[in-house]
Amino acid sequence: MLSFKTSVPPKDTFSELTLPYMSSLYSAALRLTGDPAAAEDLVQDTYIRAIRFFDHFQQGTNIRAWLFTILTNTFINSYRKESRERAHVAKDLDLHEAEERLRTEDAAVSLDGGAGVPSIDVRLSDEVRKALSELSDDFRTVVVLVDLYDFSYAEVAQMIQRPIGTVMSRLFRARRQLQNKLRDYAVSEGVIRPQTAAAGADGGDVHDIREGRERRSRRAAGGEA
Amino acid sequence: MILQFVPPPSPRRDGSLSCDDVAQALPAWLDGEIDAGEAKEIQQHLRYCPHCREVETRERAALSQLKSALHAACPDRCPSEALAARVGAALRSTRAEMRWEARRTAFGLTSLHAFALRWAPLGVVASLLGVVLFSPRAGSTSTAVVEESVRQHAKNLPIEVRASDADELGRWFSGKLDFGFRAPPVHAHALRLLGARLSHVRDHTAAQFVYEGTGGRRCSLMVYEDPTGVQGVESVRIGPHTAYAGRAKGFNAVYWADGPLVYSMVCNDSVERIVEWLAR
Repeated sequence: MLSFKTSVPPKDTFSELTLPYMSSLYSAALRLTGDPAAAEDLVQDTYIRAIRFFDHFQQGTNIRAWLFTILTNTFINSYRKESRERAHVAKDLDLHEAEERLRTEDAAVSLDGGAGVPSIDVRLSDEVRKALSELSDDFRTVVVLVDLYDFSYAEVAQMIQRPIGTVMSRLFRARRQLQNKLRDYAVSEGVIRPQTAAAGADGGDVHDIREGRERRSRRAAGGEA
Repeated sequence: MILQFVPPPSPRRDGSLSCDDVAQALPAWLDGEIDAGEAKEIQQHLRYCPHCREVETRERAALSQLKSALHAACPDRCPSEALAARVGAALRSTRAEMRWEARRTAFGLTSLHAFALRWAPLGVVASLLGVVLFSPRAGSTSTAVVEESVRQHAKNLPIEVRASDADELGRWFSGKLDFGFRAPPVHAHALRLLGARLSHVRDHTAAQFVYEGTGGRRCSLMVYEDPTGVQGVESVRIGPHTAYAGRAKGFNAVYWADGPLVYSMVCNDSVERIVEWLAR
């Protein structure tokens, strides 16, 4: 007797469960690859793999974590920035344009008074994205998954197929690198004094950026008045 | 599960935690990744240790600021309509492939077994002959590009947009594909352009141009982006490009790379004829 059992998932079930996560997956892919075209390819590959392996997904478990696992695996195996950079130097231009576009969108909502000068919030966001893109793929992957997408250490360990200890060490070192870069930026902007930065080198730096920014804007407001 | 949990802070002789233990466990504590028992011990230490309390407060603020800065800099972006359309098309095409594979598995295996049992002795003789006669060219006809583009062509899926002008079809693809290209000129009398559709070759979204050849034979030209290029054994020239020929399921394919793009022309006609059409 022939069996007609097929593993093609019912269209509605798959689409209803997975398509709502396309924007999260795309945004994460953009952060991981640093290249809008590669991010789109990565999302498409993720969905193709997801539908092919949908019978491995246990209904009732966390579909978001499952999709991110596929995304992360696909990224690690085929899209790592280091390996792409050799083949795609020209794509940097695309990324620059995309970031510029996103920056303009950010500026549209946070420019004060339409003065045409990006606010410090916008410039800080630029700096954060730059610092994030300068991390190694391994560090960026972990910090994106934990700090941007709120996955637990255990979930990330499973996604990158490494022990929890590795997740922790990559995460803490990545955070420290980000904090140091943002502190350097704050010093260069004159938001904090170098000695304050040195004193806060063990982690109080980003906090200082916000305080300094508030102080500066209070001063600027007073000066104009 | 391959995972082990966060190493617990080691207690001092009197059972309480030292400041070093707390400092070591602090990052995981701030992430809420410490189990209830250990959390209770850290809490107890913090209650009586102003130094650790100060460090904890500062680290918590720094982490919270870093997270807010990350969220502000990297909000979720809506995917473009083009991406949503691409994913939709890729899913439809993958579903079709999966249905085809499921049918092949359901029907193919049993009849194949019966066939194999009956003709196995003859098969062994034929294989030996094959090895003797064709070994210098082994592998030249079974590349992934050939198999995949033939598979897409053989599905004979309906044309999505009908036009006989390649430039007009090129405009239809802009926005649907993330690469720009021009269809190579072909021998207009031998191949009549019927139209195009979105397709897939090896997980790449592809443009598929459909032609009608002599005697009503249908041919497809697949164009997709793959900067890793193509490889092959049987090489032919198409204009300035080195192209390769391959055969699968009774179709011939001629394929070549032009920059980051791969072109693959599939037809139920000889390689010489295909090359002749493309050479124009």
